[in-house]
Amino acid sequence: MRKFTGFSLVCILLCARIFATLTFFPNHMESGLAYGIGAVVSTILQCILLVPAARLAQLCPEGPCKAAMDKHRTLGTAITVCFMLYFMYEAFVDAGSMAYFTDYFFSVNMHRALTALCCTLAAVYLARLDTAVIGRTAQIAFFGMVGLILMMTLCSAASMDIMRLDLAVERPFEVIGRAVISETERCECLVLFTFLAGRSQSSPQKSARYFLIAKGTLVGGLFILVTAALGAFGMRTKLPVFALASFSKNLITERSDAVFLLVWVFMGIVKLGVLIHCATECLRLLFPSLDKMKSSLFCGVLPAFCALPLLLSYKWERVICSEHSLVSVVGMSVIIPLILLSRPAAASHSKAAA
Amino acid sequence: MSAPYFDECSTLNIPSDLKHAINLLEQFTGETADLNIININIGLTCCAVISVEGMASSQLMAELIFQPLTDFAKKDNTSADSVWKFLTEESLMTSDRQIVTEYGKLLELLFSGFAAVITDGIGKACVLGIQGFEKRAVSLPESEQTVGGAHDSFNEALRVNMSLVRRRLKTPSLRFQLLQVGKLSRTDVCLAYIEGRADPQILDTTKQKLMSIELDTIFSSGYIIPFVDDSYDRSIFSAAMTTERPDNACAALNEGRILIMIDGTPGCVVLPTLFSDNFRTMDDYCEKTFYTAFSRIIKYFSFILAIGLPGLYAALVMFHPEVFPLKLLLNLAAAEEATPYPPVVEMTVLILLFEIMREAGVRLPKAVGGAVSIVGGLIIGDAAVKSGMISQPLLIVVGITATASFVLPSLYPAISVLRIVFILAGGLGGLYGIAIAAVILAADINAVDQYGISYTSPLSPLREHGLRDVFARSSFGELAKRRTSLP
Repeated sequence: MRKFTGFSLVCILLCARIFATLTFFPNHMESGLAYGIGAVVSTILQCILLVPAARLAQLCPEGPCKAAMDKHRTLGTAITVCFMLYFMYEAFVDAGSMAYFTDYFFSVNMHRALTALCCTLAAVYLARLDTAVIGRTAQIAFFGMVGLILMMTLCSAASMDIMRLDLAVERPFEVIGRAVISETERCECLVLFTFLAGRSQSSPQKSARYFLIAKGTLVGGLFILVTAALGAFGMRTKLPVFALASFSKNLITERSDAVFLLVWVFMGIVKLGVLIHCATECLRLLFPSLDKMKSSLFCGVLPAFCALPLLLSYKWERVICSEHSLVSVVGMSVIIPLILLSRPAAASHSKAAA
Repeated sequence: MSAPYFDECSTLNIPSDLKHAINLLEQFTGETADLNIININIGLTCCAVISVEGMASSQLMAELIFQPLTDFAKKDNTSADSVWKFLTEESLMTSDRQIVTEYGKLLELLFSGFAAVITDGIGKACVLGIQGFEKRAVSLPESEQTVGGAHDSFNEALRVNMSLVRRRLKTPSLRFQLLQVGKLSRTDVCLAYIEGRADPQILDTTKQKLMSIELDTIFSSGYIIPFVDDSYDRSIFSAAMTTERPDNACAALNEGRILIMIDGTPGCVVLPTLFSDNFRTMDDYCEKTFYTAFSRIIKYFSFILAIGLPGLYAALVMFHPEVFPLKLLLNLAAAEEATPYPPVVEMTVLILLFEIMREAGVRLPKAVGGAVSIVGGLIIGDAAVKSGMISQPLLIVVGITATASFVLPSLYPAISVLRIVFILAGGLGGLYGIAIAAVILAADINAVDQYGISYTSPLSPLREHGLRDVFARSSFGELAKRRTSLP
């Protein structure tokens, strides 16, 4: 397994995070500025949350699952299963969301099931490649995303009003606090960092620093952009970034939602591919004799298959509107690294006693 | 029937008895009609001069072999040993002289245009390089034309190609290694590299791969590329590039790359290559930097246009018409309203027709080629539009796409196929389909690597070394310090 550059890792993580922001904002948002501030505060807190993961990545470049397996078989199996299930659940959410929102807002002449199948198969194709290749593809997605944001900013510059950036809410600190929690709940990128950081050629601490700076800037910037351009309407609409793209007009095109679709699907497939890739690695760690292609297909098709009943019965909103769990993110990205970091001392003591 | 290889005779030694030696030779070649055997007595010694009709030069044979031997026959001492000594040590008949003891080597050299002299009593052959087979002169490059660069190109003769490279790189570090590849054809393949620049590991790996080829015949570079390109079956793009220009080849050697020149092929294989190499031409180094940057950006834009424009048009017209400004939308709607088929069908049919015309234009004799162009332009361009079978905007899109695809001849095969894929993706799934196809294309390009060097380097993984040269030509001062874009 070849290592990838620090920039590739950052791009993978940003794709995963920004895709969620581009898709939809958290429910019950009262103030865009408050949420932007909350996003920045959450990013600062994540600097502390990522310390154990970065340290673990530095000590165990093969990844947390392999490191756990080497320390204790049962613990390693449990941790690997946790990671695998987490990645597969996120793949389930993403595959379903891509099918749901593509059908919801764009006149694509494809059935939801076919939409989910197409994006899953594309993600499986990407997932079976090397991590370095996925990283390079994520770089292209990243530049596409930056281009989209710049284009939306330039196209909606005329309608931006700084007066819309207000904290006109009853309890601003409570709102900001809720924003911090909502923002952290959506950060499955932290779990991805814990899993992938060891394979980066550059130092995990450096990668984490650059990632958090870029994430804070982009996420906070997106919220402020949407708020300044759309104001209160942006917070009331279900998909604010899509709404902003729809209103963005330039000299060549009347609307920019088609460009948004292009970049959004690209990022979604990259994110889905990364999740399937990580789940596949976990599965192959549990069952080493499994073929890579079959494992990727299993880890990709199963979540999509599970999403189909909800998609076809038009009940997918229950999934996307439900609150994400902070416990899973903190558990996978903080607790597990702390457990693994505490193990070496116990292992060396036991060896010395023996 | 046993395989017609050299196995039976490859290690059999030439007997000292001349008659027996000739009999064996006739037996191995089945008394083929083009094998010329001239028995000649040089004083007391019988000799035979063997050559293949049309391969060795008769004039050179007369001047460099018959004349000296005839003069030697007048001497007093014409024993077998003295004749052999004269042939091998005391005369300068040709610059390429080899002593051969085995029939395998003898036959290889005879079929390469050498002439052999076998002396009775000496179990060896003196083989002299007097090739005189017909070969094409050095001419203009067919597919890699430039404005400011050199106007010569490789031809089918390996030795001529080697000289074209040597003439441009007068360094003792330039090395040529000759191999024979192909169990039946025994084609001469030459590995060229600059000692100290080329990676020895890449060189050894390439050599091993070439020697492990089990094919019977090697007639072009296409036979060899699948064996030296690791990602040949994994990607639509190839990590090995061919060039017919000696200046391009020498520039590649200077960058530490390796050339594979094949006898009978007017070009050479360059490896390892990067994706950005497809967008570089020799003209870039003949113009100023600002124009080179402009030209490169045009090429990249042409690549995107050639692949994506038809599919994008089909997707936007069919699924996302709200993107167009109102006036353009009304024109497009009016144009598409008059045609019977959906844009995706029209686009696919037009592109396929264009490919048929292009293929016909390549195969047809030049005298008839003009007629095909007129017919194609009239039928497709004029009659189809006037009859309402296709719309004019669509024809404009196809015309732009076709022109853009010829900007990058090395990528044309990939562009042709990808264009159809994007048309179907856009026509069936709109921009969603285009996005999925784009992800798969990006992953496909990124997955190509050769000898550990990423095909998308230095862009991805991002490296400062050589990055500027991807989009514009670095100044010659910088190029003098950094001679390669390979990581």
